[in-house]
Amino acid sequence: MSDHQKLSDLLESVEKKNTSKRIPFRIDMTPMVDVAFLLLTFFMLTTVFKKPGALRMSLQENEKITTSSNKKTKTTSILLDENSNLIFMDQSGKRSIVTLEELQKNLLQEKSEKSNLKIVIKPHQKAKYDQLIQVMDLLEFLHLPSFTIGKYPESDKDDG
Amino acid sequence: MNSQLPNNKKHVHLDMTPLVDVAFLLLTFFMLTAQFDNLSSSKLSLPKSKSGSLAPQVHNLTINLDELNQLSCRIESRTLTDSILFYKPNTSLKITSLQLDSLLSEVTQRDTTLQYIFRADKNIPFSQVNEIITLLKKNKIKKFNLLTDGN
Repeated sequence: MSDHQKLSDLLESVEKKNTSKRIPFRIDMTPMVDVAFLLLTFFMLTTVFKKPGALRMSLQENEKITTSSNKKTKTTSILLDENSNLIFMDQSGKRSIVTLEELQKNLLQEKSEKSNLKIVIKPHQKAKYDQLIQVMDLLEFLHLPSFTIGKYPESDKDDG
Repeated sequence: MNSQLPNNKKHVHLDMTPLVDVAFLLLTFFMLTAQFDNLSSSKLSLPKSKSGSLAPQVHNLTINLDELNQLSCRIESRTLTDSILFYKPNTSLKITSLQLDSLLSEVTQRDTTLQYIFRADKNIPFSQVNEIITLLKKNKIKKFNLLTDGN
């Protein structure tokens, strides 16, 4: 009992000491809060949530291109010329200028006719990268990932 | 009665503590999630794509080709921290295609798990793109990512 009494006395004295020393004070937080809000708006406005996508590209089948261009195996070619025209060349070698939608239709048709379609994209040296991506995107969308990139038919004479 | 009159100035103390708490919480969130892309300093608009997966965020080498055909590269890695030839990882550096070639051959020897990202402006002619692809092929890098402005 006496021990308990001592302890409570001690606690009381400590409390008294603390309360006697406590001086009420206020810090003006306004500038800090102002700055915090300023930073908040800055980060909120500059944050970009959209992360860039990526088209996976695998060059492993590019080795075959040198052999397949010998016209022994039939391929479907998509030509991208310098004036950003899309030219679709089917397996018989018939060429036609198409839009992206028409290309999709043509590819779907070829896909239904032949299961393992061999597609070669042949961009001209001056063709825009954007267009190549568009075509690659379309092939990815149609689940035709096994395409190769080849040389544009005429340009290899000009550019060597 | 007198105290309820509207023209009587009464000091209203509004407790802003919860508001400020939330503000700081949001601030820390945005500060921690913010990514400052050093490469975005070069003017570059990516081509758009509908399909495609997410680009690798860590441990990669990005080859940058901006609208003025200026090449630059950046290695983002936690394990590759020693400088490689003339290049110090986790910084951006403007380089020539020759320098890129030597850098690629050095990097492929040191690390085989590194992922490669090609980030080019959409108006770049194919000949420039082909040059980089040939470089990658020469250094036996067969798989890489073409960065797009995906949805």
